[in-house]
Amino acid sequence: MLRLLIRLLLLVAIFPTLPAPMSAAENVIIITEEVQLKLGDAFMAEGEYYRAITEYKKFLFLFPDSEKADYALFRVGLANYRGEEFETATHTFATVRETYGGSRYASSSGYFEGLSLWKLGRFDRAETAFDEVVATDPASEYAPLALLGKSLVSYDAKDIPGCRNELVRFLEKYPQDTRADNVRETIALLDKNRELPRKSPVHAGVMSAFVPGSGYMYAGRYGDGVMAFIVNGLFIAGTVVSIHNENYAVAAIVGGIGLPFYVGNIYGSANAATKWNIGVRKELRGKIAVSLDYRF
Amino acid sequence: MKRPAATAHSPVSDRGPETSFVRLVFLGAIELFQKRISPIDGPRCGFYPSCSAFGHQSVREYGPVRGVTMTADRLMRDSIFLEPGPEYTLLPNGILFDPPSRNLLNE
Repeated sequence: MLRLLIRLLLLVAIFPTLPAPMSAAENVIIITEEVQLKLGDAFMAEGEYYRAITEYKKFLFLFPDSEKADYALFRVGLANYRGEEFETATHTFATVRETYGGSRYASSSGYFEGLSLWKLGRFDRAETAFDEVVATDPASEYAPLALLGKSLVSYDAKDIPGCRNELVRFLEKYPQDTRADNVRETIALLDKNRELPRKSPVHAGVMSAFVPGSGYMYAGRYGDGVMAFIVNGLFIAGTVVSIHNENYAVAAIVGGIGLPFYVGNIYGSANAATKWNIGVRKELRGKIAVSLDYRF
Repeated sequence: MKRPAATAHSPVSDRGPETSFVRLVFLGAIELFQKRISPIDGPRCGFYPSCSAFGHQSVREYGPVRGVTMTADRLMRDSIFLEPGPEYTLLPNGILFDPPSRNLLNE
């Protein structure tokens, strides 16, 4: 009995030292659809795409029947796109289109699916995705963008007439669009550059086979040409002089070391011409992008 | 994409062991240069990856014939005439980015 009394007294004594319980309402976090989406949006705004995806996926898990599920899934795709996970982005956008066909995010998903495929270098599929956006929802704000995207995809696929055709189609479909003047300018730019200047890699290689370094010069790489001429000239001269002096072993060694440089000079010249062509195309591509004022 | 740090390291290459004798000879010679000769005078290449790394990668990925040809071309380009241009990307440390994948004759 005494022992029980002591225990009770002790309990009463230590009671004031215990932490005071907070009200239940203060500790409760109610995860609503809005809160969960805002979490995702906050991470997205900070560029924390991986965490944003987690939050949007959590939303889809907690509220699978929500009216905003299409938005959450679209944002998962967008986070993947911005995080340069284009393969996953492509699949996610396709799922949005297939699962929520009538959603307001269907055309934007189609558009971003096209962009993702473009980034993956799948030009044919990117063109199809852009075409679908224009065909299914021509009034959407993404439809004119899809046409511009398709024109640039055609350009990247080395189809300059196709690029021009898409721009003409843009003007026919959206003559009142704010970008119509830019598109007209771009068409004029393309007309001016219908035949891009070109250096033949074969010519460059053949030239360097006859006169080492000349192919580099043909491709505009004068310094590389001079160096290739000097290096190959020394190896060829060394080999010829050794043969002339009947030092066949030396000739074999010098010639053996020099041979890769001679072949490398031919290969490098052809490569320099190829790079020159790429540079010309890239320059026009940059001008087109600026002229269209197309950002994505 | 910003994501939590990976917990496991993935292997640099998932290729099997190298079996081509010629390729092994060239790779061995380049590795010998990289470990024993190159450290004597330090990094001097104007490109990234360096010429020896370029050679190693080229031989490993494109075989000895094409790899050696590409390396010889690279050695001739790494000269006093080296300058930035549309062909090369200038890196912040002042050297030029020129990986083997940009020298494949592909337009």
